[in-house]
Amino acid sequence: METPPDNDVLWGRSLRHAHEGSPALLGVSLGVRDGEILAVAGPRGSGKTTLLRCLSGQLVPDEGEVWFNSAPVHTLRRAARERLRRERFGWIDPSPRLVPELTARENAALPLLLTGASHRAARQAAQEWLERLDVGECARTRPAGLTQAQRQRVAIARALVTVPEVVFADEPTAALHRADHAQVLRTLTTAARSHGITMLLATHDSGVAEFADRTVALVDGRRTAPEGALC
Amino acid sequence: MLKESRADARETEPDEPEVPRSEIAGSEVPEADEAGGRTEPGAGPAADPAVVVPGGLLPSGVALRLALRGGVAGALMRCVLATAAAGVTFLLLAALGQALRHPHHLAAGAERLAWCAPPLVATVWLAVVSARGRAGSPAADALAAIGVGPSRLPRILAAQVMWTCLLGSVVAWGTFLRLRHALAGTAALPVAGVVTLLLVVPLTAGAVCLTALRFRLSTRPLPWGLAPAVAGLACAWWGRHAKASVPLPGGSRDMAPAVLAGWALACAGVVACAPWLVALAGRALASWRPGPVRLLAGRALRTDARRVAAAVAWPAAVLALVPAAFRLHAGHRPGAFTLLGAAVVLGAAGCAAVASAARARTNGSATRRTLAGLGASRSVLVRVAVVRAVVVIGVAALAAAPVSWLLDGVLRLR
Repeated sequence: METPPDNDVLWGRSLRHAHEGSPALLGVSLGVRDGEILAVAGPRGSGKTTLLRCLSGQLVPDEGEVWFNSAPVHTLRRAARERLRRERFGWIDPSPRLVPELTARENAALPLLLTGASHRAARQAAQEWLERLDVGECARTRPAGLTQAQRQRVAIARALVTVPEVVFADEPTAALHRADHAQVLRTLTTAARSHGITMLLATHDSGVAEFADRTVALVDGRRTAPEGALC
Repeated sequence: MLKESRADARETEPDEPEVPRSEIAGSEVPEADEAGGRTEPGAGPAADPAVVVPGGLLPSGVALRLALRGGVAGALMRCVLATAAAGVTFLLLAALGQALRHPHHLAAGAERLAWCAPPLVATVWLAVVSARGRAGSPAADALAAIGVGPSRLPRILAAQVMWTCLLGSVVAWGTFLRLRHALAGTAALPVAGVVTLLLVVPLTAGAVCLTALRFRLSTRPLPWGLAPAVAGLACAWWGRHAKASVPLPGGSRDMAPAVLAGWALACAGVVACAPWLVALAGRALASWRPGPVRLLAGRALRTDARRVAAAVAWPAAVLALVPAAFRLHAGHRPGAFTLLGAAVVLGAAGCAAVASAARARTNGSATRRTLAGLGASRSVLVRVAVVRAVVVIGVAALAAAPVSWLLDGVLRLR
């Protein structure tokens, strides 16, 4: 097996994946440097989400390799990949996907509780992140009582609460109005930079790429621009 | 996104063969249903000019089509419902036959007819549970896309229930005809009476389903069921020395009307306060610095109390009566009709519980997907489910035990 370059925290090589026969990724290679914000740009159906899911260990690619911190991810068993996602990665969906029966603070605290943190510590960390993301006053409200923008902020707080090494944000502003777009992205990228979190930001909006250090373009499951190519 | 989440559910791994396979089985069932349902509105009603009429979609036509392509779980549910309906209709026809054989004992015939009420109630409850399950299915979502929304859907589902029950009634009618001489003697059967009895279960079930699906109760459970439960127990206690004048099914024993009314009230009370008890248990479970398992299990119970309670309340109420029923029938062999009635009640309550539990599981699947997205291990999800189940069974036992014990005590005193 070929070992990845040392300065890449996350590395995917010749990733191919098909969903029930429909091809999504057709040999994508990608390296993500430590602490950078990398935008994965492309229209709907270009394979952005599949690429992020393969890199984050949610999906095992049909072909190709994924390495994280110089250790292979694609060969890990399911339990080990779950643990990796729980402890080292954060994930933000296009729509918030909060647990409806828990309050905003409990939702944000959930990843910490799952990693075995004490209730008090998890609660405190969740409250701090909610306040940083301007939704501190909604801490005791359930998702049904929040606006979509507030829910998405809670989802972002949930992804950052464990201070993960890599955050995967799959179109984090897709469900928001334009007014909220820039603000949410600014908060997200600022938080990532101030805590040294590496971030992959999938987007179909060219404006989003402004917030990133580097952009990788995908079309029909393939990388198009050679910009920032590492392989 | 949908495609990708499905692909995730189907993700397989060579080193853990059992676990992903069970996950595939879990995700396959609703998908099959979904596929069947999604093709339905496009291909079925549009292609069939008999269904697309100026007034909109004919409820019975769509109902039949949905019933025929509803998947294995749906077919099984309809089979059980039809069987229960057949049992109740057979009991009703048998009561009619008895009345025809002994035309001078009208009171006895009326009592037999009245004893068909508990199996009828159980069957109607099963029908409501099955219709509610369909109301939340992907097929219902697909129908909503072509304009069959909350006002039209109940009619389709009620029609579906009605057809299923009618099928059961017809089967019961066939069986009754085969046993006619044993059950009704040589007397001619009154056509109006037979038709009325054949339509009792389908029409009642259809009407109750329509009402239950139209009107949604408030989501916040209240303890108002405590009053009838206590009143029922008090009534049974007060009437324990009264003259026994109501014959029980099978004709082996008589019972005081007050005790009987007390039973019914206590059962209704247990069923009515079950959601409140479940919500209370959920609140208690998630208090005092909960970890993820207690937090998720407790909050889910609190939010979903009404559905969870629907799954356990009727079996709990029925089980509460079982010891008392055994005491009453001690030394007597129950007749075939008594056994049939008891089987319908127990079977319908059990199936309704299983269906409600399955529905609660489907409703929780979004939460499970979210947790899986956070990297929650499988053991956490299993532990949440186990804690929930244990608490629910504990609550059911706690609610049923005093009722059962007091009723048994009343009977022992007699």
